[in-house]
Amino acid sequence: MTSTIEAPPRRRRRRRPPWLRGPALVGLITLVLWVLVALTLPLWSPSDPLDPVADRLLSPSWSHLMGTDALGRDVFIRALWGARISLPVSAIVIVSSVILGTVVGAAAGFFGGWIDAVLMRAVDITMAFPPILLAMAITASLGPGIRNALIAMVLVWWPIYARLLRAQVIAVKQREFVESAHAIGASRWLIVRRYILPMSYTPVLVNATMDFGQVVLLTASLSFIGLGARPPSPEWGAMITEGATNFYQWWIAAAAGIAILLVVLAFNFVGDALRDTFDVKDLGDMKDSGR
Amino acid sequence: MTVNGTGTGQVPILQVRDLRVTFNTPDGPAPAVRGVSLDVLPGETLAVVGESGSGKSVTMLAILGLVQGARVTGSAVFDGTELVGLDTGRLRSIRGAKVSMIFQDPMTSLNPVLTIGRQLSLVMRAHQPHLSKQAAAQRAIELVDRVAISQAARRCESYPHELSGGMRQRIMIAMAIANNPAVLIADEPTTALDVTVQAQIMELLDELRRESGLALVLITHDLGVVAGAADRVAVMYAGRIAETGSVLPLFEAPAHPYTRGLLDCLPRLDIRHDVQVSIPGVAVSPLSLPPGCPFAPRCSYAIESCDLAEPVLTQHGDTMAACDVLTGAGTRR
Repeated sequence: MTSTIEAPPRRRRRRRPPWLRGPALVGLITLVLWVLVALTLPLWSPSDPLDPVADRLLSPSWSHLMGTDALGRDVFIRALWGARISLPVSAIVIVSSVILGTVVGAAAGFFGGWIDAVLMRAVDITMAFPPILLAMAITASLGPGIRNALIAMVLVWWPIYARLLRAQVIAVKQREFVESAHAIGASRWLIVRRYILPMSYTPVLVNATMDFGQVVLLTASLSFIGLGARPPSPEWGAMITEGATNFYQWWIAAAAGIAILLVVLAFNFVGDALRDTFDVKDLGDMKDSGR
Repeated sequence: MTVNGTGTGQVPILQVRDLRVTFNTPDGPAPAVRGVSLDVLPGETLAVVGESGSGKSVTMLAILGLVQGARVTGSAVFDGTELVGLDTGRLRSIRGAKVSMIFQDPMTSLNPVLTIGRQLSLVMRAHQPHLSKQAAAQRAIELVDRVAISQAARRCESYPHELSGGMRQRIMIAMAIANNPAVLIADEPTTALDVTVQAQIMELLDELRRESGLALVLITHDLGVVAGAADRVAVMYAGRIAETGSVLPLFEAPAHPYTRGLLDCLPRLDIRHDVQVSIPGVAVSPLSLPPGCPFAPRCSYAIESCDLAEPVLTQHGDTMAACDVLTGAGTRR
């Protein structure tokens, strides 16, 4: 009698990468929808976010999904228009912070010595303050407004990336292929750009994705306390402020709140999955030390 | 002037005189290289032999200004240019272009995120800014072919992790010769490789030397490699040259007790070894050097004067050795 060993059944489908599964997929779809809405809204928006369309303070109905606010504007439409402020502002903040943090972190890590000491003390000082507090102080001193809020957020946000990148650069620059690049006569600029940065970037990019949601929240927070976007702008934080003055018309604040919730949650889902994919460790330790 | 028994009137391409490298450590200054002088002639193979920590690698790294956190004094003249104390920019134009270096471990010496072709192009374009990308890519393929890797064009598209250790070392060699250097320093180029591949790599290096006339400085602890490949040998111990000379006399009639000890350690096929011979003791630490000959504590021939003053290199037979025992005068300890 012969026994046959059966080949294990061949896997039909490749397992999807973690960022295309479960919560991350939900998050990704949510984000894609938000971005599509933000991009195409002017083409199909039934009304202008600043124009009154009906009576004041109507409760939600089929014609006005989230009712109307104190000036008779459609709250649902305004919440959608809010994405056209929050998403680009957060994107600019994140991209600028990553660029600034990269330059500072790479310089500190690569050159070491007093350059490192000076730059990292600047990082420490910035990170010693809670981000919201420092952002408030900077915005207040620059004068309220969404542009100044944006500048303030970049100023409080870059140190995290500088610190992350510096740690990576220090680890990578001691690897042998970097030494052999020195021995081959490569310039420092070339070594940093082609040898060190590509090997150091992952934690920064993963962290930047996770931070996106935080920045959306921070933008709304600054606007809520009147330092960012001001009424009548349909910015989410500003809408919540309006909602707070019409406390019994819950839908005004709720619409903006739900919008913030959806975006922040989606970014966190995607960020978590990215972190798992790239196996970035110890981000929590580094982040918690300042914020 | 010829020191170290080059024995010819040729002008050295690389002339090292009294090179000293001292590392600052928490335990005080550690002199890793203590006055090394050697000549490298065009087209020859010089083997620098020694145990771990004898300063052989540091000597070569110091010549290229690649040691960090150390004080380097003395002189290293390459083709009329003094390299010790030269500014980084000028050093950089010499590294990789005129004096190249390959390292022990090819597995970690290549950039993991760039293809082989891109890395070779980068090296060439770093020294020849006017070289077009296309020309560099073309030359990269020629180089890969030159180091005897088949399907060179396809290999240029590969990433380092797709290649075997031997292939990667060939790529390192291709990178080192990309700019037609006059001197190629190979720091234990075969140590991390399979025995079967070692011979191929040595053959390749020797072939390149003969074809392009570059001088090869072979840093190694493997005397077997030295015997097969080198023209001249410098044996280093504790940051100094213990003995130097042409390879044949040095192997046949070693003068310095340390060289003799090293050669005795080589297992021979024609003699039955019941016990593997070794030199007693361990290499001295640069932090605790004896006042006299650094080898004296391990030397079975040591005489009283060995503990008093450090010997200098003098001619003994066909080689030069730094050993007072050979000069004779003295009493046994």
